[in-house]
Amino acid sequence: MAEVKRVNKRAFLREHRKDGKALEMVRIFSSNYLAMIGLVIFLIILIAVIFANVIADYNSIAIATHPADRLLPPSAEHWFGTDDLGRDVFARVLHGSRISLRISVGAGFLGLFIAGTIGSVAGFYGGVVDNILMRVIDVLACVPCIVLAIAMVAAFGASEFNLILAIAVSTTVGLSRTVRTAVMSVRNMEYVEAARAIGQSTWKIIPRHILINCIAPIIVHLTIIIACNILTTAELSFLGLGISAPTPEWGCMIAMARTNMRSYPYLVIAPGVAIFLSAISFNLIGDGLRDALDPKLKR
Amino acid sequence: MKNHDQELLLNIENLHIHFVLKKETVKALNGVDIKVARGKTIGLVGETGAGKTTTALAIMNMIQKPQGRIIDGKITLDGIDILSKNRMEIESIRGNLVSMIFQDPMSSLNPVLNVGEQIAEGLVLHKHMDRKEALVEAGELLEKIGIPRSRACDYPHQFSGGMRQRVLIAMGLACNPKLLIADEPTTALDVTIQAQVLQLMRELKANFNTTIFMITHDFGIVAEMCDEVYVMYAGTVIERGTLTDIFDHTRHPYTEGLFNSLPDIEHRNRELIPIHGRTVDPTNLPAGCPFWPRCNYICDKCRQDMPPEILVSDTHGVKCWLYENTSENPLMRRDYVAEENND
Repeated sequence: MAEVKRVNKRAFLREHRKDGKALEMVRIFSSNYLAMIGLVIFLIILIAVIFANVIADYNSIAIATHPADRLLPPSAEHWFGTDDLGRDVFARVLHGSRISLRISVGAGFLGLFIAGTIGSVAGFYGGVVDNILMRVIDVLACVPCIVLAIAMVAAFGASEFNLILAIAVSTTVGLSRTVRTAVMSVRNMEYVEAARAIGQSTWKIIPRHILINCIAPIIVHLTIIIACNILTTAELSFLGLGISAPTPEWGCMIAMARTNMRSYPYLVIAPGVAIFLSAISFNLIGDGLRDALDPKLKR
Repeated sequence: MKNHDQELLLNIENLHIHFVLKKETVKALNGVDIKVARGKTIGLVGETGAGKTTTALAIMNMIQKPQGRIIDGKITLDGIDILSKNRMEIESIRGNLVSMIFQDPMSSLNPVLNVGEQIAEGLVLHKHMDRKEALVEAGELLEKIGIPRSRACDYPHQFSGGMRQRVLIAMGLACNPKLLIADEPTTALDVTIQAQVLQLMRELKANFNTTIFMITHDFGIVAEMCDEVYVMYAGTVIERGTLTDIFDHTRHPYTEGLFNSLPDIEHRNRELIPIHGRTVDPTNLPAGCPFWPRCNYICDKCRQDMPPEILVSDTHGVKCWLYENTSENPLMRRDYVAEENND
């Protein structure tokens, strides 16, 4: 038997961190030009989210009204023109990205947490537990996603948190089914049994050995869900639920501009394009991730 | 007597396990008795479906519920009554006192965790190390099984089958268990790698003083590794004894059949004689001895009653009515016959 030498602990751990698989995924993802377009749009939105206050201050520009500058067309000073209360539309679209992303990403992850728990418990235990949980999900699935969200906001009141919660619950339906199927496909793998054989408890086996092995479909589904959430957020505020008037929310802006749409179409186009771009960026990224994470779909 | 008990590491008594399905009941184990002394290597032999793996899983208390039901029996491991323990207690025993090496090294490692992490997992659980200590310790275990420490950060797909099996052995031995169950550890490997893995297990046994419970259907491995042999058929141990008892003084017709169906390097032109018929259906066991439909030495009693274990020597027990009143060996093992003819 080989003599065991002691090695430098730190050197060993540094070595331990290198990772070849991630690089491969980055390579596949970056070779997909549509996904890269999505990523670039997403990064631009991200910059807008982070630097919104630097580019145009919230209090003094985005929500402050200037009755003298009502309904100005796009110009060097007001890139997207001004609305019927004299507010700069560019600044409002910019700040709208913050709210929109906060709600849709927040709802996406909250939904993932709920769906992850329901789906993995149902998929792992199967049988009666699976039946009960999935029938509950079926009941939720009977109500159209948007109607469910409207009902929840109407019941609990229109605050940002309630909006996130409502959207999260409505995304749970599809996501928990995805998680459940993915979990079922790996729960009978031998390494799960091997993990039980070394005395690992079920609550650690599920995240460490099962969920991590079905992360690919979940990530892909999550990005598409987030794109969907951006639309749902806009829809709800368009209908007057969720985010209310002075806050620069995209759906809300379209709703307000609707009356002047014939004469001042740019008031609708600016937030509309913003919704479109952010939704499509997540969809494109999701598509690219699917190719990168799932080697079976590689062309 | 007490002394004798302390020498026993594992004692399985009269274990009955049934799997109750919607339409039928699979009688997987029907009264298994196995005693394993400390420091020995024992072999559990039998064809597919004989209940070998079920026995192993029962020792770890990993029989899948609710279908799997332990009807009767007792398993004592190192003085602990395994089957009466609750979930928390059994989780602290698994991997610590007893661990298991699975059959297929290709699918028994988690593909998204590197091997260092996987070996470290047991150490974190049972030796209460923090993650970093455990990773360093895992590196040392890898060195011990002949894989360079630097490969701890590699993922399972970067290893060959034999190396993965060694990683699994390292996982099994991480917490220095008293009993190591090896469920057909070499079945998925080619012959040269088999030899390496067996050699490794022998070395580790010598160094760690682990008791090994080897499940296999390869008599070659049994001859090479084991001190005692248990032959299983249809969920019961039909013959047990030391290596010489089983190999040179075969008593049970089924064991005889197993040997007859093996090629013999010294008598290359000997015809192989398979056991006729097929394994009994565990959902529909015949009355009496489960082997009677395939047995060449059948008598009326065989069809009616299950024979008890009859001791033909101190170490050699056999469940067959042939030995009820006599200790003569009526079996005609073909290799003996061939030898006589040669003489």
